Amino acid sequence: MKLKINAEERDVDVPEDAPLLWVLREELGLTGTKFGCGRALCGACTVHLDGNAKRSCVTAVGDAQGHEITTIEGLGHDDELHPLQQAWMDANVPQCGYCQPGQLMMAAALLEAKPNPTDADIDAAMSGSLCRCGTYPRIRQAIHAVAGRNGAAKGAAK
Amino acid sequence: MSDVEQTGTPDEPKAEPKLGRRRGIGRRRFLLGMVAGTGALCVYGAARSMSLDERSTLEMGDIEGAFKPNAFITITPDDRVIFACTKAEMGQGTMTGQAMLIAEELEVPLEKIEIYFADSAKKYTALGPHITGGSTGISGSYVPAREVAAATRMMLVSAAAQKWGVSEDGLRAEAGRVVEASGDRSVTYGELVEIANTLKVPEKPKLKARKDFRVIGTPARRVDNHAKVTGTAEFGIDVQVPNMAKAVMLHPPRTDAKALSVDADDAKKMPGVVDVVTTERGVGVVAEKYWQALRAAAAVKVEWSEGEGSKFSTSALWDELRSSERSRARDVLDEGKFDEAQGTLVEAVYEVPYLAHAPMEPMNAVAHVTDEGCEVWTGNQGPILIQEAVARILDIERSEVLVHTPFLGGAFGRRSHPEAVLEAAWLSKAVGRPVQIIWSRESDTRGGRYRPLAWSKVQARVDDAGTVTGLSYDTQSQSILADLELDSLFPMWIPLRLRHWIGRNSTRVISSNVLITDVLATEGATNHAYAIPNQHVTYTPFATPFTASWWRSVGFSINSFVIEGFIDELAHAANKEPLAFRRSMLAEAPRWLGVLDAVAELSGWGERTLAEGTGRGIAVAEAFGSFCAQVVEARVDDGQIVVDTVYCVLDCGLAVNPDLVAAQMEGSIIFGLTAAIWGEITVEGGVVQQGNFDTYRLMRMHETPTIVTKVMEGADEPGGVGEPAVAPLAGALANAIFDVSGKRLRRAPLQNELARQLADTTL
Repeated sequence: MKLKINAEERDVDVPEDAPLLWVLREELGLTGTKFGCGRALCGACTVHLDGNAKRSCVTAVGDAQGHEITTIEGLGHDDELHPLQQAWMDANVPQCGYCQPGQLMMAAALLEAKPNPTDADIDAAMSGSLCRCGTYPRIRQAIHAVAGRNGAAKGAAK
Repeated sequence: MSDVEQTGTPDEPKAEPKLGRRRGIGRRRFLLGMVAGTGALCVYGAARSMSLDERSTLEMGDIEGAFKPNAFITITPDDRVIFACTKAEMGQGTMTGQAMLIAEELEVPLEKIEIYFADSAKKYTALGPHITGGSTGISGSYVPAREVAAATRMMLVSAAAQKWGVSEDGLRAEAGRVVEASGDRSVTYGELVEIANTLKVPEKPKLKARKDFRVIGTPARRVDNHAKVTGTAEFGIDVQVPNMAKAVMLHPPRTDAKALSVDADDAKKMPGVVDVVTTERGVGVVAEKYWQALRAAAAVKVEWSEGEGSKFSTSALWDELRSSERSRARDVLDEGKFDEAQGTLVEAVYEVPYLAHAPMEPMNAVAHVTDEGCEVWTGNQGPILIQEAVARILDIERSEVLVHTPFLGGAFGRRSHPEAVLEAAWLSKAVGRPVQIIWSRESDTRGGRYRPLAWSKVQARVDDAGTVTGLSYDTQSQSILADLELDSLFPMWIPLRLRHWIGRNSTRVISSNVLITDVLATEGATNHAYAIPNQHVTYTPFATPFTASWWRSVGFSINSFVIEGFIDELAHAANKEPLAFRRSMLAEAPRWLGVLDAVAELSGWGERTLAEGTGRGIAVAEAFGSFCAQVVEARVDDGQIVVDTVYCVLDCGLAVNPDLVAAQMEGSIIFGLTAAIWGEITVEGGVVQQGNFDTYRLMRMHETPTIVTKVMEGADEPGGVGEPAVAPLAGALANAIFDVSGKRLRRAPLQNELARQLADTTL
């Protein structure tokens, strides 16, 4: 089966109904995407399919065929981090860090859809992503920081 | 900040598989290396019992030609500074804090330090026990870690003095160089390695004065940020060992049940399946890939025994505790004479349930059992606990068990228990390959290691002036100390089985509650600072088929809730304002007063009028060497508890990194609210009723209140940071709900109790 992951074509030999999460982790060595619950209840396994957030633990790999799959490893480019990754670092967001790849992928999909989200938008998008360490206030702060820059850039463009 | 190295050997390109080379370097080669270097007798190869040195592998800091004056710091000729971190990084930020201590005294920039996690080798215990818990990571390392770095710095300065033939007096260390004050000569640490290696380690390292700190006290960025935002941080679940098989463990549905018969014929024929192995803790389904093991596990049919635990239910336990005579109660504190205290009697019973830790990374481990022993990779809070437990099941010595500690995806006390490692070791032994076991979320929640369930009766006498003349506290809970495996406390010259016998009997002594009492069970009740003349505290332990576990803030999670809720009740009984009432009993406790006053100011207590329908509660605690006060503002919205704002002040003495201290307060508040509002593990017929996050609810983004924190600078040395802010929270919340609704919540989880009281028209 051919998959397009992080802008690369990859071949995997797995049945179509194997969970995308484990195909990423075990067949492709992309271990940044995490297992937390196995039932789409925690968001640790969030990846993008064509830019939309998906819980990879309940997504069959066959359903990801023909779509652009992006994982945390593909969120930034080479030496340049995604603005959210940088904002996460600036705000000292991570604690244990286990949920953060999923949080970042969720936040990136949010900003893609809504470059200047309100707190209610952030709540709606991020409430499916659990963090046991309780980094939510800093996640919100970091999303706002990037959105603020989005707003500033827009203002400058005008 | 530069990328941080966590694992791997030093002198190979990053693209190589991190563990590829480590696997090849077994104990034999390491010891041969030692022999060549020291001319000592070859210990390995002699009888096993003589081999008391611990297993180790070549680690990142083992670099030929480097300056390595101790097990923790390595400086290479090309100016790399490498630090072996002995504390587990589970989110609390200790890795950053430890590196800051080293950077301070070694006089190198923080971002210059490369860090790896030390393995279980005994040399790494030189700074103290290789255990991460009790909020001691930074407080316990504060002096020894700086001393190690200061000694290293002094040797480098001496080396420069020798190189230039000058006195050390005119030299200083600065940003990885030794600089001559009078002239413009300077030399990098790397250039001094050769001379430094010939020098003696100073016996009394000279530590910097606090006023000279340039790293400690700054809100530095975490050293693990980059790895954690790019997905490259290696957690236990990410560890890859060549030829490793993966396993799902089918755990028994009831605690203590055993597999009576297993039908795995279909499963064994499925693609990738290596074997299906029955163990003491369940049926392991081993496959090449985890997703294959998951599929095969669904095809395995197991008949389970009833198990002793099938008779156990938390509802029955509560009935028993509520009617108990407490004949085994033992005094923990007896000051004055409570029975003779004057005034009106106020009494209440508080109850708290079992709680699971629920770290985001489910329990997992890799074990590789060979003729040489067992090598383990797992996120853990104490390698020696794992070494001892694995040694016991494999009947080898603990020195033959080597434990690697990657990043921990949360722990909160949970990763002090070794069950997943034991399962991996059994399976590895059975299939003759390294095996990684990964628990399901349901297994993690039902794993049977819980914050103790507790029943506490608290009584006070309040005189006509509103003064508390006596306080009595009687608590019943499961003892954490009695449930511990203490074998690893005993030295290896005592044979394994004898250690186990002593360990088991030590815990029996604790559980008897006669010679020794578990003081953790009453912490928070015995050490509050309220000036009450007559105080009496008793403890009654009980045992269940489940294991009482360390859970963030331990006894304080129980007793601080009771004390702070009850103090609030007394304030109302005395018709006093809750803050003023507390202040009146804390004249002799300046740090308690300090945080209370600070949180009052921060929250506008008594100054700012709250919106209609909002209440506020205050609470304070001293825990893990720090002092914490909180104000919670909350509402009841359609029967549901809604927390709007939490104000929190922590006096942790010296804050090594104030921003990470604030992060711990924020995290503790969310962790504490989760537990206080919803947290509960219940058991019926030996079956834990909660499983995944739909039944064991954790606070989410949209439920998180505004959190306002303040770090107070206090004493000269750091106190604990990871746990203290959990202690007062449940009390502050219950007091806020009383303020807004008149409902006194004495039973956690508070949401259930509020619903019960709202439904009960007789209340």
